[in-house]
Amino acid sequence: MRAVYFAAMDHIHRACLFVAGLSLLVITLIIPWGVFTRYVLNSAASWPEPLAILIMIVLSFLSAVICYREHLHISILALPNMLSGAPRIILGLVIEACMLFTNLFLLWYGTNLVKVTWHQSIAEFPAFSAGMTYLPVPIGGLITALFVIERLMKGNLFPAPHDPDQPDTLSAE
Amino acid sequence: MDALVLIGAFTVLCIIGVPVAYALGMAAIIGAFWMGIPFEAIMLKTSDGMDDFPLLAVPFFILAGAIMAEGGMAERIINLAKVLVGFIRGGLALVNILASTLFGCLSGSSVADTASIGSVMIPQMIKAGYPRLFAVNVTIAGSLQPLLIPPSHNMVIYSLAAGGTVSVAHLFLAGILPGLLLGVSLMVLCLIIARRNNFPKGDPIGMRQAIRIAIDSIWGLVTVFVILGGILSGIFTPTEAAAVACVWAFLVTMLVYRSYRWRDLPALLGRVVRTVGMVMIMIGFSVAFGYMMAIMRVPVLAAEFFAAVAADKYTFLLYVNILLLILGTFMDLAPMLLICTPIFMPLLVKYGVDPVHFGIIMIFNLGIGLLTPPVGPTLAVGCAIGKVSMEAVSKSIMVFYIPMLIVLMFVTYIPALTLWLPRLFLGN
Repeated sequence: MRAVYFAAMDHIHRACLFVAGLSLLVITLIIPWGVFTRYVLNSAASWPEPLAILIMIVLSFLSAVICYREHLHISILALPNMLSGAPRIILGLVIEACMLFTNLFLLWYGTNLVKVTWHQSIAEFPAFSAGMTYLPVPIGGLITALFVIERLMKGNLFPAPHDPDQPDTLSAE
Repeated sequence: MDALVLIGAFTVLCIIGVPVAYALGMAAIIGAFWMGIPFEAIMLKTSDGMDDFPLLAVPFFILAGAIMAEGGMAERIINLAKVLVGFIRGGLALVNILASTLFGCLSGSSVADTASIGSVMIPQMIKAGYPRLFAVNVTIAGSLQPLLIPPSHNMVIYSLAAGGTVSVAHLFLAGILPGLLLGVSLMVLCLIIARRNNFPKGDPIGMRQAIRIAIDSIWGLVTVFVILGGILSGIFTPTEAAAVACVWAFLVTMLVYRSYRWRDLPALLGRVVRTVGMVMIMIGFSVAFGYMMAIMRVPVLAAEFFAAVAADKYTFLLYVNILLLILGTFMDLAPMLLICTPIFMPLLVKYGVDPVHFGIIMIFNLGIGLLTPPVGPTLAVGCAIGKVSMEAVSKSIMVFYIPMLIVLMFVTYIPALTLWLPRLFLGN
């Protein structure tokens, strides 16, 4: 059962990475297309900007999910690194409880937001509703909550010790 | 008391190790609960914080920088720097600094600069007889420049944190002179150290080869002219300029340099997605946190505090510099920009500080924090590449803080250094 759950999480992680990567690629292409239509075709397309914003929300929440599973979010780990044994594990559980709480908040109130705005249409895309644009919020919350459960089951509460020979070049600056 | 609950919750959550982005979100939820604000408001602020068109410039600039850094641009920039300063005593140290200046025109990331320039320059400097620690220190200190030289995505983040009231174009132009001044001052320090320690000179490069190297690197360096020229001429918005820069960077690395393959693209996108993930969720939650700060009158309280301790603009800026230098050592640049900017904004009007000038001061201060322990991602990357301990670098890099702090004081107390170029090209 555990193995099935872990495998399912691996699949979800890969799917999130694929969709987020594709989203980044699409918005990188449609914004220059908007510039091209404005200056070369002399008929500015109105859809690239609002569509890019919609895709941006998908990219933001799914990429945050990926960062959580890979222990990439910026944290101050001075206190956890000072501890060892049971106190460190307890602290790790408290951190995960906070993560679970925040993501269940996103799931619950994000779902409410989707419900309330489901029938509000978007001027630029009449086929879409405002509720659809908020969908990544509860989806991101749900997937992160599932990853929190996975982390609790695996017990890998903190990132693996840093290999000093392998610079981690990811930073939010 | 209200503000204490919000700031206290955030501080405690950060100290115990909750990711900063989620600590902002959870503190906002706790604050809303304390004040009796409907939770739906927090939810709306979080999601609305991410659907801003100017915000799209952040992932675009990160992507353009990544394409350039991994597409063979770093080596070409280093070769160009060697042509320009490599023949002077201590030339490789100067090459290292100048390469970071030029790299700043492609990527606004200090960490990416250290990784790209450092992985080439540190081994070369060691092989040429420079002390290992000096090579690492020069690389780390030089990497502060890309944060100031356009295009820096941190300036987009500052603009957004300021409520969109500060133009990205003004910020881009404002960062140029401070960035160049920092580069020159670091080079002067390297020259002094090189003379004292009799570091080696490099061989001058022949004219024909120099021209070939310049032409080879010019394709990449044109990116900054595409971005700045497009924005200043009104052809593009900053977001559009960033997206066009991505396409340009991609075409240059794929078709001109031919140093990237199609099959490398998914891995590159994956790496950028991870960086974007760290930044964007933080921006979303910081909007909700900023909303709660406004409701709890935190900026007003900060204004009252500074009014009591700082009589004039100069004292205020001194306190801000000290505060940001301390805070920057504990947290990464982006979260500090997102948290501190809304607090300081009302104070700028009171003390008559231009928000463009202040943005550069903030980024400079917090950038120095990236090079200092305990939380110094640039320092950590430099140490990993140079294979030296953080303790050793933390001590030996001290001398490099002298030019940094001198330039910071110039930038702080001579507003013309930051405001002259934006006023020249864009007006007030």
